[in-house]
Amino acid sequence: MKACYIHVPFCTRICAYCDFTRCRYQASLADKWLQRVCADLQLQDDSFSSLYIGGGTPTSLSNTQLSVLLAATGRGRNDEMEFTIEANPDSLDEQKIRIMAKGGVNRISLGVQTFQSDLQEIIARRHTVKEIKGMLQCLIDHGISNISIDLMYGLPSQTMEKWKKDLQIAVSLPIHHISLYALTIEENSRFGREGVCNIDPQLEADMYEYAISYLQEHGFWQYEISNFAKPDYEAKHNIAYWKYEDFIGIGCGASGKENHMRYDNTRNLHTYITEGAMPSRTDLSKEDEMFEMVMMSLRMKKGLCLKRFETCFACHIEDVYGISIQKHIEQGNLMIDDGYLKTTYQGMLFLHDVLIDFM
Amino acid sequence: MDQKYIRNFSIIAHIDHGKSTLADRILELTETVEQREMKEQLLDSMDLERERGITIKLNAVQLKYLADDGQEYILHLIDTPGHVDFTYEVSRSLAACEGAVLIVDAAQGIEAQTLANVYLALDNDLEILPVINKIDLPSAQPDIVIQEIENVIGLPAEDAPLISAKNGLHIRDVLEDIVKHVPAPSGDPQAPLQALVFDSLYDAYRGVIVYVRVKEGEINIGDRIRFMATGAEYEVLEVGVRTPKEVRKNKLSCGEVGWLSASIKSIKDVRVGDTITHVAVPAAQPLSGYRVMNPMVYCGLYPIDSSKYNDLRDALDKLQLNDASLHYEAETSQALGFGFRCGFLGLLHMDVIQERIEREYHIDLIATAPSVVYHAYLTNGEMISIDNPSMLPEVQKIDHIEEPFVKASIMTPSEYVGSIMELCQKKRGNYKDMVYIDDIRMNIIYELPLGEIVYDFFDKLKSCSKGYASFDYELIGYQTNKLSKMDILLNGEVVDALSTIVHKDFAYPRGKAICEKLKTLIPRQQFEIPVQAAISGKIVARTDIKSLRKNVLAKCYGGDISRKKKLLEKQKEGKKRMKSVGSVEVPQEAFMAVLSMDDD
Repeated sequence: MKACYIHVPFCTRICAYCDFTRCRYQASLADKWLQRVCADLQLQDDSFSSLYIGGGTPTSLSNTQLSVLLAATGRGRNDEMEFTIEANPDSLDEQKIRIMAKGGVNRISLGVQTFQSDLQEIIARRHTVKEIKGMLQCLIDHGISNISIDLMYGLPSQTMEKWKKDLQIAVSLPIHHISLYALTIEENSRFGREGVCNIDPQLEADMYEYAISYLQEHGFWQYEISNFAKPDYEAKHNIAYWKYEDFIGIGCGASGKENHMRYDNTRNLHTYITEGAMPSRTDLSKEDEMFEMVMMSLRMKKGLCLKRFETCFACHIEDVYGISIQKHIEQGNLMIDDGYLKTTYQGMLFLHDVLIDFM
Repeated sequence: MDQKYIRNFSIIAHIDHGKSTLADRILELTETVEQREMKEQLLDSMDLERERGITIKLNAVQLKYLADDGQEYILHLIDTPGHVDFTYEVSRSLAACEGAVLIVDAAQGIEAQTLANVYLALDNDLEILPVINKIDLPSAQPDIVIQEIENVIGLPAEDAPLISAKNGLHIRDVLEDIVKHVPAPSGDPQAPLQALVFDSLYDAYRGVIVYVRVKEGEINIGDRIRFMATGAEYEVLEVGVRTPKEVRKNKLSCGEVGWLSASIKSIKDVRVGDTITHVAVPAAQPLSGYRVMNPMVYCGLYPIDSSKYNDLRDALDKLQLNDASLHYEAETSQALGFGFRCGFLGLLHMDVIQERIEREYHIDLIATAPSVVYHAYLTNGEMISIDNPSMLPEVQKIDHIEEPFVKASIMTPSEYVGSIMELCQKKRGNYKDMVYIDDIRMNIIYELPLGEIVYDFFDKLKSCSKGYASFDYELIGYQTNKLSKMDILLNGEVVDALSTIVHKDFAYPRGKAICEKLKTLIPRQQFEIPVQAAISGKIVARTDIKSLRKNVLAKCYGGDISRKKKLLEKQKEGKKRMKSVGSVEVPQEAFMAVLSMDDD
């Protein structure tokens, strides 16, 4: 059983920070895309360990399109598995929630980003705290109680005070999971093209560290660099990525990893509709896989399971990375604890510097 | 062949006015090179020269030309490097000729290097034949350019061939001009040998190949020869010419241009400008004009990976075989470890050598900021030459310091005069003169400290004149100035490789500019790094590089793996280009920052 990701490349509005595969929603185009996705889903024989519909904005699809898409996942679905869909508060309503619940969705990732109206304006979003609360209640009423929200920090003009307010509101909501994203200015986003600058890295670091301790105090445990959850509400689908398990990618702009090979489906919607996923494939060498497993696993607080490394690669991690591990244990970045290689608090903050020595 | 049918000439021009292209066309027209063998710009044989469109090493080619008078002539085309760093070499090449073809771009007119080259040619008593090139360009103004040549240089130009070297138009006219107007050589074949050395190159099997012009007498295989300046003596093993392929001959006759080999292992014995004579019947005097060339610009070259030190030594050894003007000696820096102090004729020369080491020998280098040679007069009366600012003795021991000055000639459309003068003032220049070349162009003369122009003067000049100004300079000697050493401290420690010699009146803004520049170049590290500039232990400027609090990408899901890995690879690549100085990782570019002038 593998985790499965479905990419919806449509948005009703293009966010200034985004450089993912996405385009403005058009009903006829989405219909053609949907046909192709459904066909691709038909080809999947196994059932999935988890299912995640992301984007883009899955909620930009029409009600009918959404029900068709959810129905098409039926073959690989089972009731126990985690089934997440990303939703934009601006395009989520009761009808869509009903369709989701009926279609087997049991977890929502809500792209709130910020509750501050001036910041919402910068990233072209519009929703009040009241609206969000209503939405959450509606989700719970329809049986979708496993709810995550996304929050962004490092936005232009965002202050520490505004960030604290956002966190305060977040922990007061009936949710179990929070993802925090630092704004990265991607070249291929509107921010990138407009030359928007990152905020002072000191402030960004302050925001991050404040969030870690504040969320901890309020019962959200940091189990990954940018993910926080109440006990037992960690995102199973994402943990599959971080444990470096195989996963299936479906749709235009999706990526997958299966059988020592990574593939990236075409990012061109027209190509996808007319010719199919046309994945570009990269064979992964043992060295690639060893490094990538370390790179992904160290993102988790729990770290890398040494036993799993040995089983996968038939060698001892110390024989491969002994020098780097030793160096970073001495520098206080890494530790080995109970069969896991994991980062210290400092090591987590400087994970890139640690990983570079494993390359 | 009778001397009267020999013509020896060079082509002189401002950069990009079409010298190499004309040379190619001449080779084609005289069928010296078959079309299919033609590589673009054949005379520039190093890749780097071809890429940069400049000629660094000289070459001499023998051509046979059947002229309109029915006579076959032997032409020797001696190519010259087109850059101010190599003025002396150019002058020696010209000394091997009786005439020079002066190319002027029909659209650009006379430029600073055009004039500089004309003066060199006149110094050597050459017949100068003006040629107007690029007449195919829509912006060509041949009439105006002809006027300019007559007014500014004082050469008759009304009959100058109007050519397009690119399209092969009227090339024959140039050759006819050469045959008619360049004087034949007039040496005495019976006189004691005097052969001018104007170039050399190193061949791994035969040793140094010497390029010569036989002025008096002749050279035969088996002759015992002496280099008059260095005193080295050898037996001639081979002589010949290039067409441009190497052709062996039995002798080089009076008036001819060719090469000889004599199992010469050390290029130090063969100096450009030296005179070769026979040991048995030596000439009474060497030919005039010989000079010992000293490097004008020095910098430290250090391998980023210190285990490559020996490789760097080998690379310099090999480069020096072909380039006697490259000097180097081992040097140790507290900051950078083991490396070499290298001397160059100029900045271009320095760039070319660095690039060749990185490209041909695959050694990543840290180059310290270029420095000129200062003369420090000590209180005990002694004078020492300082080519590395960090070696300057303590202030108490110094009476005064002198720095080299150049006379710079800058040609520019008059609208840019203001900004160019501002630039020269900022570079501590002394205004000397300004003359109109024609209605719209001026020639500005300044005396400038060489130390101020070694780094970015040329770039700055180009940018403040929208690329229109051209520039040439010559060394005019040393002048005393209020100079002192400025040290840069990173994390409280002096980094010797960042020391510079500055003018006291400019020290504060300069120190501030350097600190600010370093702040932008040195990446944040896990601790705060104070960056300070100090003169005789007194801090004149300070800034801090704030500490890095985290280095981790917030978001990373399945599809991001390859993207994330690329980012890490980039960071790793960046780290490889950095040198650990104490506990601080310093990138390559930072060592050049001390010469940055962005203090406005």
